[in-house]
Amino acid sequence: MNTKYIFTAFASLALTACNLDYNPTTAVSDATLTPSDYENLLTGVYDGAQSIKLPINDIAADNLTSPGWWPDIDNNGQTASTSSDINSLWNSHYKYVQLANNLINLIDKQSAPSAQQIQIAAQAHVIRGWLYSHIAQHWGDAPLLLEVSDALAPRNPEAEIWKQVVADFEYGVEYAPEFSDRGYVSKVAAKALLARTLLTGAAEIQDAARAKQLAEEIISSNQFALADNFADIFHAKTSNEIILQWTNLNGDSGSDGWFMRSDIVNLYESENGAGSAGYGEQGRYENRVDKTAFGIFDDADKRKAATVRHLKLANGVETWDCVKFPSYNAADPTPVIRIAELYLISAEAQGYPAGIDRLNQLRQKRGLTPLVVGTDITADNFLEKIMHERRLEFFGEGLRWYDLRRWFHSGEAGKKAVLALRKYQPGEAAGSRPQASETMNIADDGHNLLWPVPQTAIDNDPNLLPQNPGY
Amino acid sequence: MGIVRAGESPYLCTDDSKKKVTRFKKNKKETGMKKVMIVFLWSVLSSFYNESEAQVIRGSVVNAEQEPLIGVIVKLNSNSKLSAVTNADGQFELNVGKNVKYPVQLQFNYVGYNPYDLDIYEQADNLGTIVLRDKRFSLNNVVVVAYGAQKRKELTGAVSSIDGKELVKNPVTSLEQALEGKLSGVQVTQATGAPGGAVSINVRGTSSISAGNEPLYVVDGLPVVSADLSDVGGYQGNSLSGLADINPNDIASIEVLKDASAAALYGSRASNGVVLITTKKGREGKTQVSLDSYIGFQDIAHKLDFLNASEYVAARNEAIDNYNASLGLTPADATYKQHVTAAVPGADTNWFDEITQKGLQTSHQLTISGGNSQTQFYASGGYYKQEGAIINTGYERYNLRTNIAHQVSQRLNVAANIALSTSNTERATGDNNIYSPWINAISVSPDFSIYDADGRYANVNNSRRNPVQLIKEEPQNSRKYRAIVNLNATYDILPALHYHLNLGGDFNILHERQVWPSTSLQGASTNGDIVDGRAFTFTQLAEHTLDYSHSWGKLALKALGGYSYQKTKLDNAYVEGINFVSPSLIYLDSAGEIAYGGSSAESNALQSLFTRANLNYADRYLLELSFRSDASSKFAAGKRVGYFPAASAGWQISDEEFFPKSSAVNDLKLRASIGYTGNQEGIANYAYHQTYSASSIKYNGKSGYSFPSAKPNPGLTWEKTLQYDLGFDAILFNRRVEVVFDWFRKDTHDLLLSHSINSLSGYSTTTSNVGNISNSGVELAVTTHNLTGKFKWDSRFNITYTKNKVTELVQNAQGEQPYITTGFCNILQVGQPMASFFLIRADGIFQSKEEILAQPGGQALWDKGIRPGDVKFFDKNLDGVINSEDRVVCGSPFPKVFGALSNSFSYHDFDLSIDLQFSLGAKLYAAWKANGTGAGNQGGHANGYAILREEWDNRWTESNPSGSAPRAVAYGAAYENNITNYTSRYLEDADYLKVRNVSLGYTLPAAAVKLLGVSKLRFYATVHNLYTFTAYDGFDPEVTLFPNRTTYRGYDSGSVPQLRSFVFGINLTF
Repeated sequence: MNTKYIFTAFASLALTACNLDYNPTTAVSDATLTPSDYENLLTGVYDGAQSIKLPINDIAADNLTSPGWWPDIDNNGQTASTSSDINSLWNSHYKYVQLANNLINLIDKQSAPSAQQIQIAAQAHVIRGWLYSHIAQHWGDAPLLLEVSDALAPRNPEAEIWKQVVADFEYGVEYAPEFSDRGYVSKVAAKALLARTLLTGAAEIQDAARAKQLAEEIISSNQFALADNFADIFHAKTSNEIILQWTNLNGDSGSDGWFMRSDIVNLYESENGAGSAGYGEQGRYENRVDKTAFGIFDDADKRKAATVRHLKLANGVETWDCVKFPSYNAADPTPVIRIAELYLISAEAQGYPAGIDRLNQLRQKRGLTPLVVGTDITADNFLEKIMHERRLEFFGEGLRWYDLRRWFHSGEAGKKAVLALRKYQPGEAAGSRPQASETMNIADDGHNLLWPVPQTAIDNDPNLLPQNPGY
Repeated sequence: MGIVRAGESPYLCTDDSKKKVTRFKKNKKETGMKKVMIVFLWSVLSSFYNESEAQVIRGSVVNAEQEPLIGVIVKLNSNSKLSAVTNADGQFELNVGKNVKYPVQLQFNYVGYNPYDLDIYEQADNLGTIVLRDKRFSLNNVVVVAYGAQKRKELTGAVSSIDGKELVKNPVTSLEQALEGKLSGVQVTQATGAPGGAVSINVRGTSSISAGNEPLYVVDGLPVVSADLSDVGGYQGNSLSGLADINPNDIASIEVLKDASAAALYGSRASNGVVLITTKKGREGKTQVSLDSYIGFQDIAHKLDFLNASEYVAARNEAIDNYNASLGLTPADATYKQHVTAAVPGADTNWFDEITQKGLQTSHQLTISGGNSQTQFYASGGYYKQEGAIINTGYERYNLRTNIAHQVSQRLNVAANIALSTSNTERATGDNNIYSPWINAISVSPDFSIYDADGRYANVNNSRRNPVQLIKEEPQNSRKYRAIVNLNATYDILPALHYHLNLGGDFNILHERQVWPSTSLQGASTNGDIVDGRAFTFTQLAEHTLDYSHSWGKLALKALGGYSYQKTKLDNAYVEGINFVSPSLIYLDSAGEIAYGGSSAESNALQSLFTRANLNYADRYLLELSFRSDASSKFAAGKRVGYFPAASAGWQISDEEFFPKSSAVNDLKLRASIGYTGNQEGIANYAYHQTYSASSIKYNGKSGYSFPSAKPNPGLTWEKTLQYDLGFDAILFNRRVEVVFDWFRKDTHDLLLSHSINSLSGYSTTTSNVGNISNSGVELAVTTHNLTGKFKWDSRFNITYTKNKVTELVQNAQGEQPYITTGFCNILQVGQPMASFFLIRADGIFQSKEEILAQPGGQALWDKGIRPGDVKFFDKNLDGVINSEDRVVCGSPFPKVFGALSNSFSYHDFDLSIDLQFSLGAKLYAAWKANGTGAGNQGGHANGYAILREEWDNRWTESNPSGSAPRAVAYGAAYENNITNYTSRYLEDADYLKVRNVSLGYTLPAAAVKLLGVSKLRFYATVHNLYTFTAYDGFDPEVTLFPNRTTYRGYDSGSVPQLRSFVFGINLTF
């Protein structure tokens, strides 16, 4: 009799569980996604945008160097299509584009999207446009994908991508929310980005007059103002200079903090005077300021101390750092676009000599003397002066590479000017950091102002051929 | 009357023997599970005597060959003084007197034979012939197989077994060590000598790229968690064994199911073989108490010898002189280098000695077992402690096991097996990590001191860290709490039909802490950093089986059918705190800031049906068919179910009429099998779901959704292996030689492979079932009885040859199958062995200027300062530049041949065993010698790393042009050339012959034992890993960086070697 009880107890216990349908506990699946998740998807899109390492455009150019983190980017003259750096950048740009596409497609499919959903879509449009502007500038012709798909895609002409960038920004100007938090895309941020694009994008979409008009609209609205203290722009978390920034809070994924973390090494070195343990003469792998770049700042320039630093340690080791984004834990934001750029957009769009006023307004705010028309600045060196000012102003902010590229293609003078730029003077003694790349290595044909399409991408999609020239 | 069979194992309760013991009943007390005796009793039970007459019991005793056994002691009851001894004809007469009361028991004892007890229930004067079985032959032993047990004689699959008694005799510290070198086809690689560290076990080669190559472990019918669960610790390059909690002293037997026929009943988890562990059970009879204890110490058998401080400085200066001379530099030149002096004058530190120790090793186990006819129990408590070879490391384990069986009624038997354990591993940061004390100790140069003038830990050279500081200031530990529990019941529905229920659970709790106080190197930048992680893993099993047996004359059928459901849940959490108020407060309460915290949970389940039928005709023709279907939650609904059929046949050819009866071949069985098995390890639990993950997706303090990095593949399914096996079991030369031979082939297809995809989709990789691997080989196990007299000598030898080849990989868009890089220097390439080394080939040392100029770009090399004595590399593409484009396939990290030879001797009360183990054909990349990646750059002979004396003494000089190491040169192109990484210069043969175990034991004679009032007392002394014969330069040729990754192999970044241990122990039974 008790046998029976025991038996029954065992059997019932054993037969109860036979489920094989398990859903992930740390993710939502397509099937369970609802419109209330769109905001979370948008956060994912922002997270992606924040993960784009803007300073790589300074590393590839003549501002920063990063022998450890991004050796191929640093050494871009020798970059091969098999570079894992290039491959990971290609992959991440397209991944975030697809995240934005996915969200835009989902909202487009709604029969009657709510006003809030349209605002969400508009932000995704602007971020997608911003991502495509990077893709076009790094790779030229590239696949233009507006829907999530696995299909093999050919490369679209660069101009088509720029048209899409303009369209996405226009969408943002129309439908994005009004400005309230500089950590999020707003109408005015879209407008600012549009102004930048109309000035710096491909010839087919260039419209200097409209760029100037948009820039002037934003400047004259007085919603944003040039900061009195340059360092505050980067460390005050919410500076009135900035129109759009990625917040980089502690704990945020994809923040640029670690990437720009140059101070740790110096803490080590200055404390014990023996260099940072474990890294030998190369130092740790954070980014450094190109030595020659250090010399571009006038002592009077308020930007100098807030941008670069030169340390000579007790043991004789010298370091040159960028201090705009000093520390991992400081949670300083990454500026995406700020009002100073609109001054320079307006100046450049107006050209010589009309644009000099805006240029000088900025210079004076930064503690420099105004350029004298006809002597300091002429029709011939106008673009060079603009470029120089942009370099000083946006050092480390991810614009330098793009400026070099359009400058190179602006004509013979620009080409000559770019080819003359060197990270190091040839023959300069190695041994002091940084030391990875001796020169910027821009080829005479300028081919390496575009990156190669990664070999892995071509292997998986032969439609991406032909490769960019020179690779 | 006919033959009476008695003494079957309790596992074979359906055998006819049970029914026939009405008159002679085998005493259960002495029935070991493996100790099966078959007695052929020619009964002449005709006479009934008058009770008052004095009674004599007669009989004769023979061995299996029907030869009479002389001198067998036949004793009446254990407490009586009546006994007899067999004569030259094997006959005995035992006068049991007038008043003997039945039942009585006759006990037969003969050295080298299984003892045999016979219960006699009524008067009998002639027992006929009694056959005693030679202990040494295992053919009649029972082996545990999937869901049951079989006599080895009836086995048609490839199964190897180890008797648990061996494990107590010469103590082993872990289950893995128990398997080491014991079985053909089973390759055990200890990843590290660090206590509690993980081990890799491969059964018949490696058949998977990313789904794991470890076998399935089943303890008393419960598939247990064997993976390395140490997330946090694993990250630090130091893995923990998931099997270390299982107390080897509690193991009654280990069976390894090798071929498809043996393993297919475990279906989708069986491709890498199945290890069945059976724990000890109690037996009816007098309660036995035994104590098994040992104590000893461990150390590192083979130390590396490095130059001391003054030699080191002299070596550097020689390298500097060579540099200056090669380039013709004079002190006036800017690039001229001056001599160096010791970094800390007077310092001469042997870093290795500073962080190593002789570690105590001790183990104590108390076992009580016994029971009556209704209830039997086995209870044990064990304690094991091991101090590591590195100071401040160690392993400590407490075990408790209770196995109880109870007969509820005639038809219902229940049993419970409960094992509890807790262990603590004090760890050091492990291999392949810049903070590893071990790696730093073998690379920091000797001219630094441990402490500075203020008594603080001193800094060492820029590229290294103070090893003493690392081991003393950064404690890490892993505590494990584990319960392996199962309850089972057997109900006899009909005499031949039994229902069996098995419910089990394996509970794992892991608690890991890593502490980097603010004073430590790693914790300085964050003012202290402490990680506290917990992982819970729980697997539960419910299984119902029915078995049935029936015979029709000579044809016997055994059938089995079952249903099983197993669910596994994993639950992890960890918190990291920084900014500690004081370095001595090491709990998160004192953290100024919680830097990170996270938790996750996952589940999977497997639902299965299985069936097996065994047909046996006259013990001559054997056929086994089995089939399993598995449905796994890891796959999408339509892809969920897999089928795993297998068939095998055996032919006991020596029993055939036509087979010549000779003493050369006593017994011969041919076997063949074919079948499918699967592998679903390594497939993520939710890999098929299209998901958005919120893990680590955060913007402006808010979590969001993103695509996971790998594209989900709803078509994923398990890897499948088609296996063939042909083999034979033979007993030869008057039963002195026992041979088991197998040829096997395993073709694995649908290999799981993570590969890159068109990244425009938003994903850059996906995992799919592409690729094939083929393994084949032969295995041979030979047991011989060389001397069988008073002085006994037995040998066991096994050898395995395996060949492994990648036969297909993923195609790219061009239709090519490019090689896949899987480790620092391992690749997968079609046509090559798995994880082949892909390196720049070093072609020796330049001997002359002409030889340099003959290289592609030779003049440029010369101009840069390359000189005789520098390393010559093979410039595959002849471009004058040595780089990764010049790599070629240079060998395999897996041995071609491995095996072992054990010899055991006994003379009177002494026993001695010597176990040797060997491995041939594997290569090992000595990364610890190479620059930048491993421990140091002994290869460069300069620049701040310790210098290995052997390398230094073998360096090329003009007077030693045959030196195998390059010349010393401190800077410039020659230095860079000589330390070029990923070259075959660092690839060495890992062949070895190890004296694995030497053990000498002494058992007290019966008289002495009696005096002490105990029933058995044995003393022994054992040396484990006594010596390794090898040409490998490092500590130990048997290491691997990531034991669980077969595609990342043969890489020695400076692993802690296996330790040599000396122990002294006793086995005491009351």
